[in-house]
Parts: sequence; structure tokens; C-alpha cells
Amino acid sequence: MKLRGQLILSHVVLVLTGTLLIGTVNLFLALRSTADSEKLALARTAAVGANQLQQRLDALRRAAHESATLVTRLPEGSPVGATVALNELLQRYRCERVEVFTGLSRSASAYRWERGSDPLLHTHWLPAEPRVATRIASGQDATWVQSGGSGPASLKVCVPVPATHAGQKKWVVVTEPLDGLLLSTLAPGVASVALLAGDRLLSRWPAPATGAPEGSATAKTPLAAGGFERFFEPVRASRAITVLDSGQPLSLRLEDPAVASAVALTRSVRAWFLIALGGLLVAGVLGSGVAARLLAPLQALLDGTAAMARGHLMVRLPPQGRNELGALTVEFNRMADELRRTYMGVIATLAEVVEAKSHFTREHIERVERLAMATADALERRGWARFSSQRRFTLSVAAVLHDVGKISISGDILNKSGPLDDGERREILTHPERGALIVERMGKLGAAAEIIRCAHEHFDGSGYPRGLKGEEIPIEARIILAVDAYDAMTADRPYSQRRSPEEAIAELRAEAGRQFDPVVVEALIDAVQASPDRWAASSSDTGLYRLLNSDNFSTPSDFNALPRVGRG
Amino acid sequence: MLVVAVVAIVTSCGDERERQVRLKVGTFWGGAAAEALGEEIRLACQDLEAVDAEVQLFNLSSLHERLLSESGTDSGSGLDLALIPNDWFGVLTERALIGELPAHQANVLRERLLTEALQAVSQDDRLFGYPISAEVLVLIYNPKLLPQEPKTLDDIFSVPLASGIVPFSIDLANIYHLAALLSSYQGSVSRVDGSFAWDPAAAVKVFRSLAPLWNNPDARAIATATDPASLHVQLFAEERLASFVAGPWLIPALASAGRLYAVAPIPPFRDSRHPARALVGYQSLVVIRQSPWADLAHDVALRLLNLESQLHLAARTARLPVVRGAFTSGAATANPASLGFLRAMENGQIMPSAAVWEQGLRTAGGRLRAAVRARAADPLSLLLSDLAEGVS
Repeated sequence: MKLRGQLILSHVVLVLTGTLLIGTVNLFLALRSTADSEKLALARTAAVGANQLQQRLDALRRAAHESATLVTRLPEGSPVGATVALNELLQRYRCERVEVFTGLSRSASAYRWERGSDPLLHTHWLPAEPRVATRIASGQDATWVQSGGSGPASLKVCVPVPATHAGQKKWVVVTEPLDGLLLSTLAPGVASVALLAGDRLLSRWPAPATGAPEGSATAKTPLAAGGFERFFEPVRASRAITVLDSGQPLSLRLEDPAVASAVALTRSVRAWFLIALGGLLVAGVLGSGVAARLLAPLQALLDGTAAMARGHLMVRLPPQGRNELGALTVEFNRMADELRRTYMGVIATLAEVVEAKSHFTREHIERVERLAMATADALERRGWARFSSQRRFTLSVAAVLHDVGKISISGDILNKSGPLDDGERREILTHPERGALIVERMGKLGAAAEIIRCAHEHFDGSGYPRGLKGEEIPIEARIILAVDAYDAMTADRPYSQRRSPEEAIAELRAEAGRQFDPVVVEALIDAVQASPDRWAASSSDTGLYRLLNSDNFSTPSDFNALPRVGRG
Repeated sequence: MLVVAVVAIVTSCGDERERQVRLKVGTFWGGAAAEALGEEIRLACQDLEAVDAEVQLFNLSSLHERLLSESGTDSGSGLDLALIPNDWFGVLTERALIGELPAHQANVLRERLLTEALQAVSQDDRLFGYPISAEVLVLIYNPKLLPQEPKTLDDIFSVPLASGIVPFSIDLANIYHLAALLSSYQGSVSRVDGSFAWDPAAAVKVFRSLAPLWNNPDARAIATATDPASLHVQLFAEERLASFVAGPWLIPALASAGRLYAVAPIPPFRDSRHPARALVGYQSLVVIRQSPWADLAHDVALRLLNLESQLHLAARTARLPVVRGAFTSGAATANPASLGFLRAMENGQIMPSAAVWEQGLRTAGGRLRAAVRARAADPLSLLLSDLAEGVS
């Protein structure tokens, strides 16, 4: 993986870890808070339900006492009348059943029917619990719970009827079924409501399905809270209501699925996902920015090294700062300086040999180089070509050494004032190839060597050594050819008379399309006309020649632009 | 990062429960009938994704109040569906609390239901509810005490019974119960415009014909009691009542009492010129207009109108189905008791779904109840003079 990817990934991992930690803490706190709230709410519901049942029990006792008083006034021998009277009383207290027992026999009864209630509530006189039976026999009030067999259990209140003139002992028993109808009203909205006498389950709502295991009735909740309910134990709350005369405490037990906790978990997980997603986006953007900032100097070093490897010897990187990357940049520049110094020394030596070997002056070489660079500028201005710093350097080297091949040509031939014979001419025609080979051997200057090799090719293909034409000839070679010709025409030569710039321009235009590239000619004319005097005088304050005569290769120049690998 | 976190938390604050629609269904049915209705509605909900139902039980008056208060409540806290008798339609549609059925549902109803059931939920050919069962008041009698099905009420009073056995009882303060006897003297109890017709002369005739009941202290005590239905069931189960007028809702109680019973249409009096036409009511599901889930509620209600659901409801509620298929297949009359209800329904009169009917019936019912309760301990002549002055 690239360093950039590693940096972004490290940001993402860091953010994910942070959000995971925050999310976990948030989740823990939310769940704990919600669970406490849920338990508290259910405990409150249980307290309210227990209070309701206590009030119900009080109403049963009042109904029982009032029934006992009523029984003493019931018309003898009128069972229907007794039933109607007791029914009215039940209607007032909203109780379900009242029975009057004389001894062990039921002598009167009434019940209140409501849609859905069971009129055949099986009741048994005299409870099995000895303690309750003893209380009844001794004429005390008694409250107990009686199991209903297959039906629901019943809450029963027994009070003795005040003695009548007949002297018969009678008891009134008021019964309230502990059925689903009652239980569902005690804690509306709660999944499971149960009544217990001690540890014994008396009744539960909703009733478990036949054959279902204990507790299964609470497993189902009609509303799904993201499916997380299964991760939580149901919330439970118990509340004591009263102590029955059997000695057992009557208590209400509620059970509800932890929906709120599940909802809280769902919310927290969703929030965590959203935060993590947002964090990832931010981490990606930030990581990318940081990576770009950190990697920019490294990228410049990489580009500089690659450019130098491709022969762009004038690469120089801008200073980076005082960190390790800055030190590395300084060292790179120092190494590049050394390399440049070596190459420049060789180029300078070759230039001096060419000067010594031929009748060319140092000024000619310098003018050709400078005018070639000016022509490249003009081409760029016109939008006909673009020259990167590397191409400029290559053009400059090629301009300086364009005739270096002549050092391998005999001085007699080279400086012969008279016409050359065929053998001499063939010898002369080999100098571009020889120059290219010399430059190639220097290494890193392959592009300049190719320009030198083509520097005598004509636009129409009539040049040498290979007879290339048009676009087959590198534009740098076309520039050098035109510039060299212009300078040769406008400079003093032993074998020809100097011409004026105007005459030289006319000659160039005359040869445009044949010997010279018309575009290059126009650019050259632009360069000459922009500053005609400049090319006439010798100057060594700019260009490669300035560098060749300088020991300080660290000085910024046209060639020092930071190269970009892959962009020319 | 902070902004992203805040946005994430805010967007996650929606209640998870909102994902699932929970339809609130109000019903005045109780016990096994309510359980059966709940089962059928939940089955219907299972076909619809993410829909559940919560059945809430009301007594008749509290459900009526709840529905009429819907217009003033937040739509989120009201009912979505309600099971109501069809004679409530008038006021509910007048107040725009229930809406017309969508075209698709209406077409399905017209295709499947009995004409009478459609008539019960129609106004100007527009349907406003989904009838799911029919109920009618009948005479329930003990065939051991009354070996022959009584042709007239006078026949019942003329049967010699042991002392302490009441021959016949009816909730005298209940206008619904008395309507059949009124119609035996005055013909229909509804006018052309759907309003309730109370003829004082017919009422006097009815109570005069019921003199044997009024003159029996036990029978009068039952018939004028606050809770005659409980007394009817208990005394019938104890064989101290030979016959009484009741609706199908008492059938499960009688069945569990283990007492033999027979069902017949309410007989007229011997001197009646018309049959005793009991009121026929159609229990119908209506969709509350303010419900945010009205479209789902319509879907759920429509799913109850299949033969299987109808027969299940009929079996558990002792009421009659309303889809044609139940009658063409004979499934509707499989229960012997249902034959008696069917005969009574064919002989009965459908309660109009006009607002004037409900208003008139309530007014007359309130005055009848006040008159009967006020004279419960007085001679019949005083009650008859009250009735002659008119109660409507």
C-alpha cells in the first residue's frame, strides 16, 4: 500500500476506534439509565395496580357486610326476591357473586352478569385452609383465595350474618374472580400480570397457551423494537397487596419485555453507525489533506530524482523547512549540484575544445544558445510549442554542443578555406553523428544527443545525416539549425561576408519550408526583432553559458523549475 | 465531526415503535366474542406487513361517547377502527366521524354481503361500514317448562307452572326489548324518514297485555331491576324463570350453565294485529376518519368478510353471519339455536341508519326507563296513565 493510503487508513482507524469507545460508553450509560427508568416505571405501575386491588378488596368487604345486613331483611320464601335484592347490591358494588350459606348449604345467591363473564363460577364453601376455616367458624371475617380448578382463582370474603330470630347461623360470601378481565385492568399495557399467594401462582394474564412452558406468555410482544428485545431480560416488578387470612401474602407481579432498553440500544447503535459514518468521511477528508501536506516534499524529492535520472541535470528543489524532509531536500540539492558540476565541467571542456578546434568563437556558441532559447520562448508565446524546464535544458546543452562532433574531424578539412572534395565533404557530413555519440557517452544526455544528431536535417528532407523531414525532426534541432544559420549569416566569417539582420531574415524566409521550419523561422524572427541588439553583442550573464562559467550551480536559473514526473 | 454527531443523534431520536403500525380497535363486545374479534383482526393484520392491532373493550355507552368525542381529540390518540351497531351510523356520518368506503371495498361488499346487511350500512347508496354479524332479540324459553313453542305471549302466561317459577320476563325499561312488542300493535316502529315511531296507545296496549307479568311481584322485580340480564341468566339456570327476551350475547352464558334452552322469535300478543318484529342490528366495523392509518384499517376490515372468519365469529358470538356464502352453504344454520335467530331476523325490522332514528330511540328509551323505574312499585294503572300521556 502506498504511503498516502497508509496515512488515510491510520486516520480512519483512529477515528473508528474513538467513535467505538465513545459509542460503547454512551451505550452503556444509555442502557443503564433506560433500564433503571423502565424498572422504576414498572414498579410504579405495580404499586398502582396493587392499590387498585386493595381498593377492590375493600369494596368486596363492604359488599359482604352490606349483604349480611340485607340478608336479615330478605323475605322468607321468596328466592326470586332475594336474588333480585342481592343482585341490586352487587350491581352497586360491581361485584360478581354473592352467596348466603346456612350451615353448609347455600340458601341464596346472586351474581352480576356482564358481557364475557362466566356465570358458573365454581365455588366451594368453607376453605381448606384450617386457619381461615377456624376464623369463619368462630364468627370472624375472613379473606382468602380459592383456586378455581380449571377456571380462574377467586378472591373470597366471608362475613357472618348477624343473628336472626330463627337463630340459624348464616354466612355471606362475596366472590371476585381473579380472571383476565380484572388483571388486565390492574396494569394496562403491561405484557404479563400475575397474582400470587405466597409463591403460588393464582392467576395470570394473558393466560399461557395450552402446553406452553411457564413464562412463554411474556415472550411475545406485539411491537418489535428493532429485534433487540431478545438481548434483554424482561423487566419484573412485584408489589405486596395484603396478607390473606391464610397467612400468605397476596402480591402482584408484573413482567414486561425490556422494550425501552431495546429501543435505547437500537437508537444507540444507529447513532453510533451514523457517527462512525460521519467520522469516516471526515477522517477520509482530513487524512487525505494531512497525507497531501506530509507527502508533498516527498513527492517533490521523488519527482526530482526521477527527473535527474532522465537527464534533467538542472533540477533543484525548493527548501522545505527545518524537519527531516527539509534536511533531505538540502542533501538532494547538494548531490544534484555535484552531479551538475561534473556534467557542466565536461560540457564546458567540450565547448572549449570545439572553440579551439574550429574557427567558431565562444561568442558564436553563446549566441546560438541564447537565440535558441529566445526562439523557444517565442514559440511558446505563439502557442505553437511548449518547453518544460527539462526540454529547455536539453535545448541549451544541444545548442552549446551542436557542433561538438567537429572535434573528431581533421582540422585541415574543418578550416579549409577552399572548396571541399567529395571525401572531405563526406567527412564533414559525419560530424552530427559523431557529436551525438560523444554526448551520448556522457550519459543522461540522450535527448540532447538526438537533437545534435538532427541539427543538420532540413525541413524538406534535404539535410543530413539521415534525410529526416518535417515533424520527424525534433523541434529543438529545427531551432538550432535556423538559429545557427542566422548567426552564421550575421557574423563575420573568414569565408563569407557578414549580412545585415534584415538580409539574414529575408534569407531565412526564402528558405522557410525548404531548409527551415516556417514556424521556427517566424519565432526566430520574433525573437530577433524583439531585441535585435542583444544578439549582436556577446553576453554571458544568462543561460547555460553563465552556469558553465560559474561555480555556483545552486543559483536559480530557467532550468531549475521543479520538475513533475510524467508531465514533460 | 461535532456537527455530524449532533445530526446523527437528532436523526436517531425517532421512536422505534413508530416503525410498526398499531391499529386501535374499539368494541362493545366482551368475553369470547371480543376474543374472537381480536383473533380475526390479528389474523387480518398478519397479511399486512408491520401492522398489529390492539382491541380495546368498551361498554356500549362509553364506546358511543368515545366515538363522538373523536372530533375533539388528537388523531393520534383515537381509535382507528370501531365495532358499532348500525343504528349509530346516522349521527357518526352526520358529524363526518366516519367516511365512505373506498370504491374497491364497496364493490367487494356488494358482491359478498346479504342485501339486508348492505342496507344496514348504506345511506343514499353509499356504504359507510363493514357489517360482520347480525343480531336480533329473541324469546329464550325452557322447553321442559314450556313444551310447545309459544305462539303468543298470552300462551306463556296461561301455562300452569309450579309456585316460585316466573313464566316470562323482559327488560321493561329497555326500548330495544320493548320495540318488538310495540310493533305487534302499531306495526313498524320506524317511519319512512327513518325516525322512531312511538305510539302511546300501542304502548298502553303492550303494558296492559303484560299485566300478568306486572302483577307477579317476582316477575315485576326482575323486569324492572337495574340488571335484568344477570337475573334472567341466573334464574333461568336455576329453573325459576321459564322464558325471557334476550339477545344472542347471553347464549354462551346459558350454554355454560348447562340448562336446556330453545330459541324462538318473540311472539306477539293474542290480540295483536301485527307480528312482533324485533329490531335487527348489524354490528359493523367502521373506519374513523381521523385515523392516520385509515387505508390500513379499510384493508383489515375488508379481510374479515370471508366465509371462514364469518363462521368463526358466528360460532363464538352466537350471532348470524352476513356473507351470502354462509347461507347458501347452510353453514349459518348449523347450530340449532341459530335457526331461532334466523327466523327472528327474517321476521324482524332492520334498525335504520339515520340520525333521526338514533336520536328518537334514545329520547324515547330514556323516558320509558324513567317511567318504568318510577312506577316499579306502583299499580299498573299509574304506569299506563303515564304512558298514555306519551313518552316521546
